[in-house]
Amino acid sequence: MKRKISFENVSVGYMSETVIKDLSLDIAEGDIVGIFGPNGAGKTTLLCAVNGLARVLSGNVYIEGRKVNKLNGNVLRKNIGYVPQHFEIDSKLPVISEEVILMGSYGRLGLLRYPNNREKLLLDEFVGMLDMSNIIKKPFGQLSGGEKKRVLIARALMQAPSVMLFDEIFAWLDRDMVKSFTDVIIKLHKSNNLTTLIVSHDMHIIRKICPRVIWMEKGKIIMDAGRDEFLKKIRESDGII
Amino acid sequence: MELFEFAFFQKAFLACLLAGTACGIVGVWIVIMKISFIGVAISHAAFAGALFALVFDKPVIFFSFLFCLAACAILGPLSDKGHLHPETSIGIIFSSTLGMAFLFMGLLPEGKSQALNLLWGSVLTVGAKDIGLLAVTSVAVILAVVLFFKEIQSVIFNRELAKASGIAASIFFYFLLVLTGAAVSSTLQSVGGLLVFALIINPAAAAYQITYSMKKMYFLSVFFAVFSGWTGLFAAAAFNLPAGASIVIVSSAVFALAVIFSPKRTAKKVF
Repeated sequence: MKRKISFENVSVGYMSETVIKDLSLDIAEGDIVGIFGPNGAGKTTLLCAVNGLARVLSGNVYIEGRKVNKLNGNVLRKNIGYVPQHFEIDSKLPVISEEVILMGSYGRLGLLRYPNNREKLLLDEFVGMLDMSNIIKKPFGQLSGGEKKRVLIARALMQAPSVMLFDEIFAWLDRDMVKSFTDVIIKLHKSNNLTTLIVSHDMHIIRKICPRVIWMEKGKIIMDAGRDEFLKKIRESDGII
Repeated sequence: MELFEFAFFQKAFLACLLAGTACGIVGVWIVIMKISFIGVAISHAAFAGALFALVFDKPVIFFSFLFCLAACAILGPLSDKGHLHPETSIGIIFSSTLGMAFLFMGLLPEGKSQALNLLWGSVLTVGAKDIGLLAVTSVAVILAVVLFFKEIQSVIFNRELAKASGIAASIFFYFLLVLTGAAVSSTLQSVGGLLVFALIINPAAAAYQITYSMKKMYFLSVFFAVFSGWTGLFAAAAFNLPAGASIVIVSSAVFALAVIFSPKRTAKKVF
């Protein structure tokens, strides 16, 4: 299987703190990988290292064999959809949800080119898939947390990415919403031929979606295994499942 | 209407139109990005640059613009790489430029009236050169919005998400700061270093209260800024008031009315 994402002895940090330490990792094209671990383990930082938004202190990150650096970061990011964990915004902000979704296509389109029929078709497709027809004309700041996450997922998909990064998108969602999001992610992954990384500290979600799980603690990978081995390790460690 | 028979009033009228257009557009960026204090910081940088030019007998407009550009060039990286919140870096620029302004004012060989003119502005005495500069700035700001509407919209909505989708968000952020500096320094002569801040913030903040469309916000903000300029100008002529102060008071009144009649007052709060 072709390697899509590679980390070679990567350390990542913010200011004087090193969050990820000497991490090496390969993710194949078409994989769907769960990044599991407690708060502060470096899960979000790992995602930010993939799309070049984090400060890599040493080592190299490769996307499809191309080293991520400051010069090519914007080009590579056009191909990487990112749904953030936190998204605070003023409820009065003058932007409607449809515009937020279309913004996802702006980087891919480039300067002086505007959304056309292709973008309209993609928009309609994602609005249908994520059941958003009743919210796309509403101001984005007026949406509920779950609705905002739907819009941000559609926004990331508008990039027509080959890699998707989901950062704790299940946090603060009710059970029905989690079920709906889980189904959508599996469907999106298959229909768009994506390589998907999902950060979550909820082992039930990880176990349902991800055949491969990377368990992180204190900036290091303590386990990189299949779903069954992950569950076995969980049972052995604290008997929660 | 006989006021229009005077050349100085025609120029002042035109200056209000051009300054209102530039400040109205720039204000949208500042208000949405919530970096209102940037107007104060940049206007003080322009003021310090102009005083520097007066002390050393150099071209005032050129040096006020140069100081503005320097302030903008420092503001962006300070907030990006210095691990400081933009408001903190703006505060540092503000206090530094204010200190410089007072230093240069102290070094002025003659009276302080020239310096005070720059601080308060004098729309009724704008010259052809000032009008030309205002026209160039207004056209540059309008072109920026027309050509890069989608990139600017994405960056002022959220810089991190814009960057994550492959937009050169930092470059566009600095570009917006530089255009803000250009708008401030070109209005220094007409509106003044202190009052330009109100002409940038008040009309855009009023427009923000009214619409959920960014395109409409641009038009409303420009409309409110030009309306404030013209109404303030007529009020100044009719009641013999200082023009700059009248313009600011009208723009504040427009903001107050926008808040009172805002359709967003009833909008639900989302937590």
